[in-house]
Amino acid sequence: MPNRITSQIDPFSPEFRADPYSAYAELRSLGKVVYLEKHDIWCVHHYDTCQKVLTDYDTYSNAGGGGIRNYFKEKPWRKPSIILEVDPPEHTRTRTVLSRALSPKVLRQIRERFDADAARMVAEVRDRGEIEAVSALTRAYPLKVFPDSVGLAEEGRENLLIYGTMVFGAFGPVVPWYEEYMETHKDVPDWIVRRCQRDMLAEGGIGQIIYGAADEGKITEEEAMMLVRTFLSAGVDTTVDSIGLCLWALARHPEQYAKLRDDPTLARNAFEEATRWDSSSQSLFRTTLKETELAGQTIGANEKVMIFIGSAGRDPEHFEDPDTFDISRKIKGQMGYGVGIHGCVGQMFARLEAECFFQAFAQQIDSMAVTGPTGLRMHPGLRGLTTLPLALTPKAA
Amino acid sequence: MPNVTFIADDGTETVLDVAVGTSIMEAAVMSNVDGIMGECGGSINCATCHVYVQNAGGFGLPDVGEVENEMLDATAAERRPESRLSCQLIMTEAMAGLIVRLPDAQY
Ligand code: HEM
Ligand code: FES
Repeated sequence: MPNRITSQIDPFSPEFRADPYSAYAELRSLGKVVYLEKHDIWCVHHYDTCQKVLTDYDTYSNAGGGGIRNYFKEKPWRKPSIILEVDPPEHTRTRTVLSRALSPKVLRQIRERFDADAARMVAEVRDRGEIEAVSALTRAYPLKVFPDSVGLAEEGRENLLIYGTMVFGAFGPVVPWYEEYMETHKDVPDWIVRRCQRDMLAEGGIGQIIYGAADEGKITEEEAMMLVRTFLSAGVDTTVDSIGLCLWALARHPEQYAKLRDDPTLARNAFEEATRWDSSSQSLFRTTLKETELAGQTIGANEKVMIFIGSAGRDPEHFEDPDTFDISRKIKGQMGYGVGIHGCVGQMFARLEAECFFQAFAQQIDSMAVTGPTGLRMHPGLRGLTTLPLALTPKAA
Repeated sequence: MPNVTFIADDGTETVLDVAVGTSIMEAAVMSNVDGIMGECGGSINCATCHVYVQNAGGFGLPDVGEVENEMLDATAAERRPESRLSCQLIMTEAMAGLIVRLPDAQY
């Protein structure tokens, strides 16, 4: 029997997904590196070890697959992502293209449209009294501004959400609902590919910037299509879920919302705090390229390591009073977008999108209250809400 | 520990001891040095950790990487030959005495 700390915790079980934070606390108390016997994987859940694993790409590879399936031991179930599931030097090439497509310069031009769309969408619901906030706001807003920025046509955008479920659903072990879902929506991946072609993307959008890199010979035409597609899968559900969770957190902490309402410039920091406290992306995977030692534990080659970034945000060794949601906290190095070379390339886009949304919301809404049960998504890859019934009180005009 | 001097746009100087292996961005953020944001945590994504290295010679600084080069084209303050992203400057013993100037804006 190898010498290791083990646990029966199952990160893909409904109980875990309903309340990951008490499971994280249990894992943190067990030790720095724990072996999850249910799935035969290692996991880390403290700030320092999460950071170590995510930044040491010579040891912890992305080429073994972004989900639980181990491409070093079994054939990939689909063609690996040319950005997320590759290591340097291949990674550097595609990453450079996306970094440019999403650079601060590009974002400065987008801001005005985000502001206008957010203000309009909040204005549409402000006097309605009770709303279902996921469909009315936190899903509707990203689903408008994100594809607009990429340059995607209006028609059929709900397919983006279906595609997101297909991509993030593959993060965990194979389950019957997923196979059914893939079958029901088997036409969607082709629809996405058609929408990602050069001539389908509007001028001036991020999609065309990516094709511009193909014109310069930095990537092939096919790779440009794949990178646009990556955008569509990585940028929609994540922002929908994180903005939704942030709104939920604010609704449950009226004293925090009051701070934001009185000073809407806190919007960016509020979203940053929500990304630390309760966000869409809870865990990531790496696969070891060689035998290694981590916090005193030997880990063999070709082993899967699950990195609970959601737990890193609650680690009292790094954050003071980590379970408290405080939108005026000075947040240093929260890890909700990952860290290191694969750290989210869309994070500045996500921050801007959310900042504009919560600023517009705080400018128009005086207070809010949750009026009924909320629903949690049970997909393995992301955490998010399906429903959030809210009563809104508008600010006096 | 080797030290690094930060000179803010208004001339304020801060000297920090920086642990080997830590990035200059991280050291600055953890010690609340104003003028370095480091919003993306070192993922070469935000360009809010932009610095001007005043005395680059002889410290064995790493070359500007491809992604860093791309990001440096998008900084809020003007790019100069001595521009670097401080998240890409990982402290070594040889870097003791490095001086970086902070730009007037990171956004
Ligand atoms: C709040 C919203 C978001 C969250 C929480 C989030 C989270 C993450 C995380 C944790 C990673 C690291 C994956 C890993 O290391 O294995 C990542 C990578 C990535 N994200 Fe995001 N993301 C968000 C929004 C976006 C947006 C809006 C885009 C596109 C514009 C995007 C595109 C990507 C891409 C392309 C990668 C892969 C980067 C690489 O491998 O180099 N994300 N994201
Ligand atoms: S910290 Fe974001 S680019 Fe350096």
